[in-house]
Amino acid sequence: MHELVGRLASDVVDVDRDLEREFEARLTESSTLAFRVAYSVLRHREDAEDVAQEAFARAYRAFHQLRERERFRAWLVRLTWRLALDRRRGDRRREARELAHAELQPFANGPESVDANYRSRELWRAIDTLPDKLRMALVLASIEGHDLAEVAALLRLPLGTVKSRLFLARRRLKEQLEWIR
Amino acid sequence: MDPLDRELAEALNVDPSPAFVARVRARVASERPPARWRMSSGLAAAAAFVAVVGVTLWVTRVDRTPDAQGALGVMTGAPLHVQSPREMPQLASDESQLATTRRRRGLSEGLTAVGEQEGLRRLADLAREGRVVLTFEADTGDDVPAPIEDIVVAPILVEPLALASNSTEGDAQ
Repeated sequence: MHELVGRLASDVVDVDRDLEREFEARLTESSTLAFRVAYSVLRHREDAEDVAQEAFARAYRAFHQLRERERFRAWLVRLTWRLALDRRRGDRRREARELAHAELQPFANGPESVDANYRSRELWRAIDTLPDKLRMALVLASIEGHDLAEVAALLRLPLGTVKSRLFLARRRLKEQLEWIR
Repeated sequence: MDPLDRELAEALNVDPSPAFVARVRARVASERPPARWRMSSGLAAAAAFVAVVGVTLWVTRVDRTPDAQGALGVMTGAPLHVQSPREMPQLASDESQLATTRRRRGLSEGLTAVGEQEGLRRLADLAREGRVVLTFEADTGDDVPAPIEDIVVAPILVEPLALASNSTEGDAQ
């Protein structure tokens, strides 16, 4: 019986080592993705890093339960997105303060930056008006050079659904952003 | 490239700080439990089941072993059979066998104190060598209950009831 238990324990340790290596590889390839997803919601670098870090910690805790490991990125994206939304709900006040502060300093980097700041602010404001489903598809299609098939895989949606969501998202943004038309 | 796509790509082209990945690794490492506790729940349940079955089998086997029953008798305070020097070698060998069995099976030494056991062992050794003769005298102490005498039950005498005559009974009615 001792031999059996010993063999079981060594098997468990081997499985753990494999899991560790696999998780490390996933972390390396997906860290920027998680950060950018969080950033697209929070638009604050440190907050986005905190949220992405938390997402990785949670992913690590549940990694051994993930049956389809190739779905890790999709899983991580959804997890990060949810955590970022939660964080943003909790940080509404701070966001308002920061926005007010940004509006008070429009000329900090010269007239060109005024234009860039304005455009950026308007763009994010328009993105924020989008429903979650459209916003997520738009953000994922705009980061890391994802094509439609990759976005569909990340969202676990049919390609046609992703196409229509992107079409709707773009149309709504263009309706709101006159300078982009 | 569509102007909107360009604006979106620019807006989202933000990289984390260089220390970000290192911080994530540190955080993940802090989540990592010690290796010996990192078992999946299924394996942990299987190991627990194997352990329970093993202990049950072991306990069952100990209970059915005759010398273990003897050991239990000694531990529960059953009277020790020490009668005469001729019987002592047998007793001593029984005791040593019992102690060996206990050690082999990891049993505790019972309810008697270690000093008492050692004393008994020495006494048994001395008796076996003939330096001490163990005899049992009839105990005549005051705390010995008096012999039970015959119980005498006095005879119970029941006198016959006086019966009334028929004529008297009819008058009364």
